[in-house]
Amino acid sequence: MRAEALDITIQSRDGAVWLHLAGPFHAEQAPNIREKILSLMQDGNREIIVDLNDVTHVDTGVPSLFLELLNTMRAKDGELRFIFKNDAVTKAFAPYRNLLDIHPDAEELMSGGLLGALRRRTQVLFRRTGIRLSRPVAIFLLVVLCSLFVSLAFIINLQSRRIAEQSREVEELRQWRQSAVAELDKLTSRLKPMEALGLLPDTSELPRIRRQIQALRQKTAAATPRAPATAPLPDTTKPQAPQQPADADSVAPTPPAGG
Amino acid sequence: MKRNAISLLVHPYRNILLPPAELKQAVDSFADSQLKLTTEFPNVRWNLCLPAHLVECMDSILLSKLREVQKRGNLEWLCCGYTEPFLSFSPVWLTQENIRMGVETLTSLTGAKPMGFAPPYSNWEPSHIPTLDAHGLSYAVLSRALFPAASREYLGYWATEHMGTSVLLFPVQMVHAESAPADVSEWLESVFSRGKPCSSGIKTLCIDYLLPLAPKPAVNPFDWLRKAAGAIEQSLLQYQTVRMDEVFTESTPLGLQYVAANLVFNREDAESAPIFQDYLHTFDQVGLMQRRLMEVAENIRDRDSTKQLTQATRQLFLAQDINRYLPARVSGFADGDDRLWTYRRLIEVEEQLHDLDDLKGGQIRIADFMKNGSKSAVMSNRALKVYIDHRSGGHVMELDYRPRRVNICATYASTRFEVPRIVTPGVSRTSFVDHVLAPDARWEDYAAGSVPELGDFVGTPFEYTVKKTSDSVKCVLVRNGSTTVSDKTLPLTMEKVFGLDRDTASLSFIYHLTNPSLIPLTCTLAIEVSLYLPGAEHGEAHIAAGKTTCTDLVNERFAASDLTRWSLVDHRAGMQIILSAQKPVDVWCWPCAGSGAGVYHGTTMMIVSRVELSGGTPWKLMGKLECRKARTKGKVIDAC
Repeated sequence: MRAEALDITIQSRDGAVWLHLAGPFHAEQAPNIREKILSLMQDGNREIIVDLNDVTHVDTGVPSLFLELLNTMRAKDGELRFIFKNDAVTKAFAPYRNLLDIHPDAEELMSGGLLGALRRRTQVLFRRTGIRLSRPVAIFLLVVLCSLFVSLAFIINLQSRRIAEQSREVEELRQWRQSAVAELDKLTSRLKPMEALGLLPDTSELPRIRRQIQALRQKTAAATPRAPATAPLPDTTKPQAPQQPADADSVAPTPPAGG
Repeated sequence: MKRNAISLLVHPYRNILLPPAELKQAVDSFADSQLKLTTEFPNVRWNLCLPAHLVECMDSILLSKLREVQKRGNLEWLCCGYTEPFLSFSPVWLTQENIRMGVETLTSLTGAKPMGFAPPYSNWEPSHIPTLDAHGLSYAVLSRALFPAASREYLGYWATEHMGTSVLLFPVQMVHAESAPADVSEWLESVFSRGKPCSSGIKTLCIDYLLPLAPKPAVNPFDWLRKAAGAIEQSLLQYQTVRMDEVFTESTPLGLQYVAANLVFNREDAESAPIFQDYLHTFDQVGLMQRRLMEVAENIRDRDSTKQLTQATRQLFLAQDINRYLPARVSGFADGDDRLWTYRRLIEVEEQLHDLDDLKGGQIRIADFMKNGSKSAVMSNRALKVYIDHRSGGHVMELDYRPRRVNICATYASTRFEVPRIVTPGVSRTSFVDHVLAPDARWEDYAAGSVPELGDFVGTPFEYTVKKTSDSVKCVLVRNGSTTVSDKTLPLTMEKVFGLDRDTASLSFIYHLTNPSLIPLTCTLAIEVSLYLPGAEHGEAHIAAGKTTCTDLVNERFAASDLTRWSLVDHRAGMQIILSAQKPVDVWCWPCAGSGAGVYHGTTMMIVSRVELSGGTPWKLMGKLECRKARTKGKVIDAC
């Protein structure tokens, strides 16, 4: 009964198939195990974890069986991983240690940190989408993506600073305009009685002053729409400057320095 | 003149399963009666043996009163474990844990560490001596029947040794409440007169008085104790009552005595049963129960200890209770309620382990479940667990419906094997047994045993392969067999596939028959399914097929034709088993052999279909066995 000495448990955990073997693993059992794992692959399982921690003895031909299965699995873009830390299995698999993905126990395999979780997630996504990427291509794509993200962030930062400067300038101009309009209104209201009495004989300067006011309004109006969509919204709580009649006769106040 | 010593051991036991409330009441009633005795006879010293889980459910006031008696030096507690473990049938670690927990619980509840061990049914295993020693149990109390005939007449105690560790053995005179001697004084006199003393000249008799926790209504088991205590008090110059531990300080052992693994089948029996394991293994169910227990216990042993596992281990302590195994008048594995109760405990533990493992979908295990050197395939998901024996006809041995914690295939074969062969289903009742019969076979003839078997698929090996996808598990069984037609043997290939889909409570089965020869073949395929419905005995189960219903499953036979769907409903277990087939089949049902006159061992059901195979063409039958919850009626025994 050497051919049936090994106990086999096949179960699903976290999207992978776990194959737990227990008992002595004689060479006579190799065909049986090969057939079972190949059958699992044919059933569409692409991540198989072989737990050998309860294997008490391993014949010499057994590791080569798993190497063969590993090749078959990799050819199908799958993964064959191993769990063991017992002496009997470690000794038998020692020459092939670097070729196999070996973990001491299930906890270590499951808790591979952030990278491990990322890798597992990626594999699940690969399986779902059917997209396969080699490691260099994946790294290159990752670098390109990172560069794009950095450039984009730099441009956005630059733009934000310009927008902030312009917003500040617009705000200053708005404030100056408000004060200028208020001043003009005040002066106009003072001049109106004198004009009505005909005490302003010399009005030759009025057209020039009107032109100056018009220019000032145009400048202010031109500055306001230049504010981008991302600029802060105007404070609606502040009182809006009253609209000046087009033919208002008023004297423009002295603009602020540099205005 | 030296007075002879009498050690009175009061030993209550769980003779039948009791619901928790009734069990507590029985324990309290026992403690109350015992306290009355101690008050009535203040000079009599008592020894008391009770499983620790029963002491746990004892009323705290009664327990504190017993502690006071113990402090006065009139009472000594003995331990038999947390429950009453079957030492010979249980995994060693589980028994060790049971004894450890029993000692710890008794120590904390009674305030004194027990020093004596009283194995139930005097089930003695020398390999457990180191365990007893490790837990401070310095002596064991065994029936005199276990000792060699030449040593039985000695009234004293012995020492025994196993691999360098020794304990003291106290041979006891078993007295059962129902068969206790009427005249106590006379009986004591006769025992002491023929008994031989130890080297110090003192004769010490230990009486193990067994009293059932649920006695017959007319019997008061304390009557005899009262009578015995009165008789001893009246003869104070002749006898003195002692505690067990006092015996060891006052006298020396009679010598070294080796007692082999053994037990007494009936507690008060005068003879032991040294080959009891063989006897038990001539039945099938007890072996299956033991294998299930070992499987679950091994699974728990290999894990790190957690709180959940402590609960699971306690369930296993209950499952290893010897009272549920040894066949008795009202208990033991032959009793359906006892059998299902043990399975219930085991399924409960398996459920807990399944949750701990966080398994998704089905899993399949190929392991030497029967411990007979050949593998069984065990498929399971959250709702069902199926045991398949590919070596013996690809039969289904066990089928658990987990949501109701019932083993549907827990039928009982009352026929015994000639030799202990529980590992092959010779007379066992298994399911999905494939009979190939003559095309005109009728169910009356088959039930009468007059229809010959034409195929070779019953009890013969099948090749098996397993399939596992993310959703389902399947076991494919193939046999290139043969059938006899008109005295000619024709080849016939049978492939049957059992499958579990995701976590549903549905077992699918597909039969593929192929005729490799060119000769057309006509036969009848009859698939035998044996099911156990606990409600059948109480009239709470029935079979429904279309408009036909059969309610008396214990006595009546039932047959229906051209069915594609039929069901078995059990309101005691609270389940419904729905069977469906892709093509119309005939269904024959009758009670298993040994059933009738109020005794129910199970229901045999045959799914029958005519098969016509012209050369090279396959024939297919697809079906499904689905379990669903149903309304529960009646009393469900769920003793703690």
